[in-house]
Amino acid sequence: MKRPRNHTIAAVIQFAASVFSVVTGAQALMPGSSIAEVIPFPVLLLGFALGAIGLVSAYGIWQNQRWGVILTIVIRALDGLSAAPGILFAPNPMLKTMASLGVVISIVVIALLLWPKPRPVTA
Amino acid sequence: MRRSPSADAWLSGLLLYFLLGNYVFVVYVIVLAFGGIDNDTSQVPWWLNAISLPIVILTVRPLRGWLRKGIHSVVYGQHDDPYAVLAEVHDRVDADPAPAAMVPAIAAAIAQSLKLPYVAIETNLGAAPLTAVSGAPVDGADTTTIPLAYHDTTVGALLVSARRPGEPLSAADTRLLHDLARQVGITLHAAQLTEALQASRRQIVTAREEERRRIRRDLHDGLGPTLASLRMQLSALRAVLDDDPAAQALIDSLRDDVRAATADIRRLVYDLRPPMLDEFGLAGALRNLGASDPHAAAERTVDVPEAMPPLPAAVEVALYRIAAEALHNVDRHAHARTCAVRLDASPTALTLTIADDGVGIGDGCRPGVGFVSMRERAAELGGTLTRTSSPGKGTVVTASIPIGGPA
Repeated sequence: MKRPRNHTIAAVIQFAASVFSVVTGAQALMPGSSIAEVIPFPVLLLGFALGAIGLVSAYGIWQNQRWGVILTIVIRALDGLSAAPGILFAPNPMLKTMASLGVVISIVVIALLLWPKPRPVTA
Repeated sequence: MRRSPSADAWLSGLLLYFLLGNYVFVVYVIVLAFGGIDNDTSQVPWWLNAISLPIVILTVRPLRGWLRKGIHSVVYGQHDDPYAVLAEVHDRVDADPAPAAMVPAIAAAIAQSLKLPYVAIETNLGAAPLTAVSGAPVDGADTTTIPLAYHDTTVGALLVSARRPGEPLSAADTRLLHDLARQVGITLHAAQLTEALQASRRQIVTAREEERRRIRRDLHDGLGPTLASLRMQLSALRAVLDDDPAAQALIDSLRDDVRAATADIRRLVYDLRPPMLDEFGLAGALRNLGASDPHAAAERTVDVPEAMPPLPAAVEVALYRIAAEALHNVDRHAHARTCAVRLDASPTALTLTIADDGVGIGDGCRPGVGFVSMRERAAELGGTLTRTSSPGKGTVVTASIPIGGPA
């Protein structure tokens, strides 16, 4: 069965967000990183791990696999949960903005994956 | 008896309440953010809690319904929406209505729409049984067989595997599959009728052409020489009766009648079946068609196999006439410089291609009588004929006719 368009968009966003998480997480986890001084280590580690698993889940959506969709929903929900407190407690506006963006991306991806498939209208 | 929830039911429930929990938390955080709460706030004002509570209460119920539908669709496929499954099956049938391709498409549509690991359809198309399979059975899982019927006639069977060992299909899934089976039964019956009609048409056309070949041979080898001999005898008789003008006039009249009858038979023989097919076979006849003709508008090249298998008369005539019509169209309409005729033979089909480098045909151009006739000739024998062309880029006509199967 052909992959629905909203799943394609969700896979692309999930892939991009996961790559970003992995790259920034890897940089933040390096010794001497300035980000590690303002963001708790467990949050950084969780973000990196979710990013890595997110790459796998993005592949699963792309291949039109049920496990890919379910895994992505779980990962995005956990990502949103871990990013939400940053909206209130992040030390600077940039990190607050990134936390807000993380929550918005999670909501968008989950909505795209659960959006009902439009039924074709036949005359 | 109430069954314990399946693994899929647990998964759906957990996902639903996990997402709802997330939603409540995120709403609360957003309300606090708008309320100005940050690192320096020691206590959350009571009125912020009072604002977030009604927002959650008012929105969680509709959100729960929406999430439940979406999660069910992900976990179970379309089993909450039988019309969506029917629409998917209908779309697959529309995409390729050929009976042999339709049955696997229906099996795949049911498997993917309902997220089933294994769906198989067993039926008969023509004389041959056909089993279309999508996926593989799960070890230890129950397989349900649902008969596919049209009125009182069984036309096949639908085999479906449960999603997991020890978890039979739910009542809702079983009900939906029985409803689907009724529609699939009607579709299969129509496909069987189409296949039988096509086979019958092939038999009629093949028998017609074989009979024509026999009649042509009998006329050419029997009646034709007899009439020629009669004319010679009349000529000899005229020479004997050279002193009787009345008899000579009668003999001349008889000779004219015999000559006219011979011409009529020659024309009849030609119309029954192109004589070049009997003299040279299909390959040789195509070479003759494509041989440089001073009246042809385009330079023709012909590429045909040296050795051809024995072919039914109907196939030879169809391909020859298609080639003749296509070359005629090239000369009349294409304004081409070159035209290539190619015949490819495989154990199961013959494919004839006529390609020119002429002016091409626009999208809005309706097919003429000649093209319709070519297509009919191919379709009568279970074959296909396609034409690809665009303005300024020439035209390619491809006819493919199956051989080697039952007539």
